[in-house]
Amino acid sequence: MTTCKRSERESFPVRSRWKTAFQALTLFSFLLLAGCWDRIEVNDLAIILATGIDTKDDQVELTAQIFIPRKAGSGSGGSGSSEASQSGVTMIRTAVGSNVAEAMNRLQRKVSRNVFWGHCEVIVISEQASKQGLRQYLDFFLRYTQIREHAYVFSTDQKARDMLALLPPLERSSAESLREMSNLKLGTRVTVLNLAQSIEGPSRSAVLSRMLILKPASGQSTYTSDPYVRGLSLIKEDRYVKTVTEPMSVGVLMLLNQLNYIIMPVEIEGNEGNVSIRLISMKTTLTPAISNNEWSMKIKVDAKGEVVLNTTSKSIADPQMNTMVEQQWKEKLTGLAKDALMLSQKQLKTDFFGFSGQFRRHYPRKWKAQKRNWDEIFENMKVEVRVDTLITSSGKSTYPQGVPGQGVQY
Amino acid sequence: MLTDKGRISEVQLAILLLPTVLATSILSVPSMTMHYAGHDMWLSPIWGSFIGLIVIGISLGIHRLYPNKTIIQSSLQIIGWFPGKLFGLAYLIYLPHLTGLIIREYGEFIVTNALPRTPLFVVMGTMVIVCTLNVRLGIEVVGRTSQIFVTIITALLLLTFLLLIKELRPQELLPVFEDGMLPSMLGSIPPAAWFSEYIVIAFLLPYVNHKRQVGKAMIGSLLFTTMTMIVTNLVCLFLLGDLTDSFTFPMLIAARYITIADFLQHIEAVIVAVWIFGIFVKISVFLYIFSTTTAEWFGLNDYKPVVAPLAFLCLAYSYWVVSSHPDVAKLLSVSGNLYTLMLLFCFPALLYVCALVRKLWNERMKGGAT
Repeated sequence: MTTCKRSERESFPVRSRWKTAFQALTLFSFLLLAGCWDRIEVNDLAIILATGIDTKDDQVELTAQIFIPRKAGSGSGGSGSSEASQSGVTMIRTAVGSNVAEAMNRLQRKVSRNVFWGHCEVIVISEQASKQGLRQYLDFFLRYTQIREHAYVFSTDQKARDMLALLPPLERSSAESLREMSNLKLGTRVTVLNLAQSIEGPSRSAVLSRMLILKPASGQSTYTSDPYVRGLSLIKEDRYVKTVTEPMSVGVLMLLNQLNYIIMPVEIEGNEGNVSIRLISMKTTLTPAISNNEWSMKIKVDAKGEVVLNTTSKSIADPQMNTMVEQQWKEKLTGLAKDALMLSQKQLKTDFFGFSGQFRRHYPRKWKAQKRNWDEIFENMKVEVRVDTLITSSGKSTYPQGVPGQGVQY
Repeated sequence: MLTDKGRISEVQLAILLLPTVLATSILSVPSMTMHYAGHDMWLSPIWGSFIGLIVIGISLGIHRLYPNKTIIQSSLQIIGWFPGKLFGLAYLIYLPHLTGLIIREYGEFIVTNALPRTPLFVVMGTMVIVCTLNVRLGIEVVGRTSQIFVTIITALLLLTFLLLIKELRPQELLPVFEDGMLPSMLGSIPPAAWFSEYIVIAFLLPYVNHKRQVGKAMIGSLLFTTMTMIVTNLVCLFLLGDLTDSFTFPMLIAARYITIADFLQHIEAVIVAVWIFGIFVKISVFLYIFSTTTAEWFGLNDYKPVVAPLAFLCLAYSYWVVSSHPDVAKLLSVSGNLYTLMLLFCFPALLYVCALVRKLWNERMKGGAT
């Protein structure tokens, strides 16, 4: 112990001088290291919430919706300009370029702050632009470092620019409205990554929600409005081919296993009026089969619903009526599915529902051998649709309400 | 004879090896294996781990025949002074290449993904300085820091995987063996190159204090790394599907994809943190090996004086080895793996064969004499 201590003490003075110098140096270096020489503060950034893509005479028109922090911060104080609504905390900037990257570069020249794409959660592509191919946009979105792969993609047949210019009364920005609608699963919920996967995958197609601009209430400025979901845009290879609206879009969503929120009126034979059913859950499964070189697909749909309106004269509690409703609903759903299949197989000859992916998973060898003939096989494929329906609840009432004199009958 | 007085336990060695193998592999292995193996890329680490198993066997074997000597020291006895020195020289030339490449990979990753405006030199230089300090403090400190960091790395990686569960689609696993077994075997070359880095135990075994359980600890470490690689590959496959090999760093894309309840997002910094912790241990281990090898080769008593100059040399090498990020990718996916396998697998294997032959020969001679 003592020898050890002595040796330490002997070497102490020489060491300590260096040590003190080193410590001092480290300490003072903090003054320099806390540097702000290339800082970018929040007020140096133009935070982009949504991107819109249009075309203008073969050129790309890129629109960015930029968040205005000052307005958002002032809360209820709408005392500024009378034109902008209280909720209006965004502005748009548009730039045109021969491709999307050039347009982006030109966009920066129109914004006084450093454009930041990291919070861009929504991308709106006009059908006009997607007619010319989505490839360049997808490559850009998946390559440019700042853009998130989780951004939702929407389609519109109006100008994407106008959609981003909206200042919705309810939400902070139209980007937020679009994102919330996507979360409500009113249409398809497609991120940039999903879109790339489904276009680059074996089915070489994609389905996007089609958004339109709601007409503003009278007396309001044209921009005080919301985007809303109406139908689907179908994309074949990487190009827009067709728009479908209800009832066709319901069938498409059903086969995509993405139908979530819908209330369907169902007519009952031999009865006036109808029964409206709210969908509670729906599950669509695809089972491919190959026998004797004949490719076929079995589609099984399990639907559960709840009655929300009954304008017929019969009670839902009546078992006979119940099965009848289920039967009619089933027929209606089967019809929708068949229409959607017809569209996909015969009209557009595009595998929107990922049949090819299923064959690839279940019959990898045969799929590889027949990959080249897929279009032909798909067109002539036998598809069997089986729908199982179940009414789980008749709501608060059993007997039809509001029928004059009904209460006296029993 | 050893140039460092420090000793570590066998568990510390096992833990030390986890980031040494995993740090760089987590980011680039998924897309590299998918390039060859397609859908079966999650199987590739299993084939690759056999190389790891063999390498561990070789290291333990040589050490059993020549206890308490690093591979550089024992090579002198196995194949004679001059060939042994040549053998060591090969490593003296190779190690700065490898270390430089690791440093460069780290720098490129940080610059492209986290600090785009910071000069590459600053990013790499600061890391090298910290690693130099770490290495100068001896194997004990390197072992301790790795113990702490491995805990953090494991927790953060698990967190990322858990948060992604919602987005994963297990059906992407099918079809298995779309083109037979061969692609997954071919795809195992990049992970094999990483697993061959287990040879560092041939340099570190003399510093281990309980040599009995070393074998068991090493197997545990190997299992852990294999599992982590498989899980990483699976997560990337389930999330990105066939697109996995179109991204440079699939795991980073996966972390960026996390969105939970609209506010838990943009957590790719977690992956960057994992990477920094891991790479710190990895650079330290290779710098340590490089320093001790140099000291042993020149017959020095202490490795500490050479650490700082060698660290600087490695930093210079990081500029000399490649000139751009695509270059790093090219080197790693084509020739780099064979180069690594050559030095980290073939050479030690040959040395072990020589050692066995020599042992047999000696026994035969003794048997003949009596």
